[in-house]
Amino acid sequence: MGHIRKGSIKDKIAIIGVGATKFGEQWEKNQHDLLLEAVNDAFADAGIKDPQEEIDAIWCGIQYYFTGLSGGTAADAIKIYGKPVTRVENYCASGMDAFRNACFSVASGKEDIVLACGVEKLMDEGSAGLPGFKEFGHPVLPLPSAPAMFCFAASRSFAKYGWTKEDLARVAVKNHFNGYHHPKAHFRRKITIEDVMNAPMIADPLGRYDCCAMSDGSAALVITTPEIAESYAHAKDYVLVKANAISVHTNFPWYKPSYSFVGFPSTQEAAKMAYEEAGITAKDVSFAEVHDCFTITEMVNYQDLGFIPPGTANEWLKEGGPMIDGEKPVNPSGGLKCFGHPIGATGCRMLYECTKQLQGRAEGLQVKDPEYGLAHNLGGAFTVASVTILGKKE
Amino acid sequence: MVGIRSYGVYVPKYKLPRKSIAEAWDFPKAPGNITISNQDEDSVTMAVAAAFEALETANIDPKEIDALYFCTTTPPYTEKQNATTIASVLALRDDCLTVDVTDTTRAASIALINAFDSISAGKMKNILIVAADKRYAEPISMYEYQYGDGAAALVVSSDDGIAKINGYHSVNYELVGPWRKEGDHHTQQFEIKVETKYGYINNTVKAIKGLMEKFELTPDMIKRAAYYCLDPRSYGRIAAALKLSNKALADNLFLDHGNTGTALAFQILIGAFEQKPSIKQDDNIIFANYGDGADAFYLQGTENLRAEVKKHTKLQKKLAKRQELPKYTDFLKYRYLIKTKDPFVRKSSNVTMWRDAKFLNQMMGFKCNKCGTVQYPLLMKNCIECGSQDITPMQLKRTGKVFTYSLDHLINCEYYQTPVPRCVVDLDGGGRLLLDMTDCNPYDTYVGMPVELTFRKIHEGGGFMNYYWKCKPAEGAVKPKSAEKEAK
Repeated sequence: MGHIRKGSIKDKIAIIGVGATKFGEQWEKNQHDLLLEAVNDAFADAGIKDPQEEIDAIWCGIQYYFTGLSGGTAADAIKIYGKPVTRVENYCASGMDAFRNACFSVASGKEDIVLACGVEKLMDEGSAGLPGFKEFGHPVLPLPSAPAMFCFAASRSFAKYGWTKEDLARVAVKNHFNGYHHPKAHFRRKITIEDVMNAPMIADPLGRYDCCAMSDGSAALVITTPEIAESYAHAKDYVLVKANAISVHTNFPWYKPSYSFVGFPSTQEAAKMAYEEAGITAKDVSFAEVHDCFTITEMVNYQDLGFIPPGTANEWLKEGGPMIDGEKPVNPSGGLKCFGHPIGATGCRMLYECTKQLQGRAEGLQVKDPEYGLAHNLGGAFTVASVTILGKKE
Repeated sequence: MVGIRSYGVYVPKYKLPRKSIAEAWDFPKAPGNITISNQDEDSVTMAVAAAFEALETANIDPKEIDALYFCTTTPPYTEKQNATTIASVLALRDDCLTVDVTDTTRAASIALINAFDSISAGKMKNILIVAADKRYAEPISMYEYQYGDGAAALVVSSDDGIAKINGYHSVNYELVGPWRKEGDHHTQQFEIKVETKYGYINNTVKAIKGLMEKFELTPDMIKRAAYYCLDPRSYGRIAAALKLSNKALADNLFLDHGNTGTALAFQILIGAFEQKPSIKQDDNIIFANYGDGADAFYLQGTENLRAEVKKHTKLQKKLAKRQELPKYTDFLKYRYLIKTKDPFVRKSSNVTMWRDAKFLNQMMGFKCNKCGTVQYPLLMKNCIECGSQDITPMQLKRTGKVFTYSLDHLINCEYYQTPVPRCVVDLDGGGRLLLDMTDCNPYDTYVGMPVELTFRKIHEGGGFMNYYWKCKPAEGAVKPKSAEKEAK
């Protein structure tokens, strides 16, 4: 605490190409198919003609062992061999942490053009909740399901701030409205408050529409220095990385007596670091793709990211603040609510969306004249938070 | 001098009315209930609950216990001692003698004989005996009317305590009465009339008569008689054969509770201690138990009995608080008598469970010497708040309040016995942890709810018994949902 970080990657990294698959039930495709599809999309966007020659290194976000271990998963999918390729795992922030590592390799001058990507193949394990809970963790210490973990925030917020299930429902309705317009979203259906309220319970008070779905997908970004970016396809509108921060807190917040459960320190810390690095405040953020794994998470995020004061997320939603035409559109893509959450892919998918929004070529709803876009991941038991701020080329 | 110093009775949360069984199988109707334990309970976990009551009301440091006898016909392990699990949870001394007494409903009184002899000989001072059973009757048989679940514990000490033990008389008898072979799922019984006449009545009478002769007791001298009950009619016949007055007879618990196997005789005795009119100093008590023979004991009340009884929630009150299983299918589910989705099992390692035993079994946490935070578990040996490695291990309390919770319908991506209340609990005196709630209506959970910890079977991952704590609503904790608003 109190240590001032001198280093910065602000304006040193340019995103020159982005790609993503359609997210959803990709029964006929495996992880290699998905990854290759997203990467091909990104290469085409960037104007990469000879990947083996032009791409110096790869970082790939993957959470689950069954999606693939080691850098070999990405190397095999893309058929780039003999280069530095690394698998990155950091819970739901795996994809954005892959991007972070990729940024550092370019910023250090070691690599010129690198690929950051992420993929997860969840549906082969079944669609009812995240798999793996039998395999990892302590034999008997309780391990709640992901929705149950985030319910701890809901129960506390309900008790402390008087929020209701209907407040949560507004998040789902908003994101489904946005996602309805996005061709790559898993769910493209508008829903009502009543739909949300009447849906079957997953972890009280979170019902089916309060939870993001299991989904397959992949996303990829090609990054380089602003100088090299000038000779690629998006020379005129490449996007600059303004800041990138990651903060890791405990895997076991329920053993920490001071933990409030109405705010996540990991997000608060990562946001603070990112705003400092970018030299902006939360006010300057034009729009955000935030981690809405559950509706309650999005409400807590508004506060942790400094968009609004603690305890006011319900009011902000009622006022329309995070709507597409509101003060600060949140999840214009439809978020995890509509894309689902293939863990390793999500962080890269958010950066894909932010890049396209800043370039004015959003496939879904376009945010009006954005200057800064913020992407945020939150993973585990609120353990890992990652915040990236992107801005337009000067 | 040997006496019973204190006692404990564990009555599980649920009861099944016998009429549910009658309706399920078109049997002749029978009155009353049988007590049913939850899915996460077995003889070890029920024994722990009874033992805690006995130790706490005895006001005895568990380190003063010289021997632990665990008596059951349903031990979770047949190779590997079960008493050591209980000793670990109770934090008994490592030179405390641990014994499993099994195979017969008489196990509890056999342990009492051993305890009496060890203490009489001056070899030991305090002995904990705990008896528990969770027996399965043959499905679609009227024996389903009989078997209840439960546990009882006695602390036997080298002073008079609440009732002094003057001596015993024991007889053995070979008869294949109720039996269960290696690998059998449920207890079998054949000609109950032979068992009743030549086994139960014959032996119980023989043991008590032998005892009365040994101590020159006449029926009119007996203030109270408490003995194992195979069925209420035969229970009365034994009293008649011994010419004991009906007034002296303890409640046999059969009607409302059922036959709790090895725990039953202790439970009937404890009921007798609590029964009105109160037992006075020097009142003569006959206590007997049956199973492959019978054991009879001559007890006398002491001046401490009435005060001791007041420390306890009475057995009858515990029975009154049980919750009824509305359907016979609930009973089948609670007993795993129907093939359902496989129970949730996590990967386990006996190495991990052994290494972590201190905090898993005994709720050991620590206090940070730098910032003062009391915390759990000892999984990591540095402070979760300030990172200091300067810590002092500390026994945490087994009561607390719900800080936040959720009702989890997803157990390992499967819908299985849900929702499970997942509770972040702040323990009284410090320490916070995550516990599943059991023995509850999940929808009663609220922020601020007082809870108590209960030792339960979690799963059988790794092929062995994985035990840990859960929480359950504390006495009087269940309130309407509106309490949630007050809690903030």
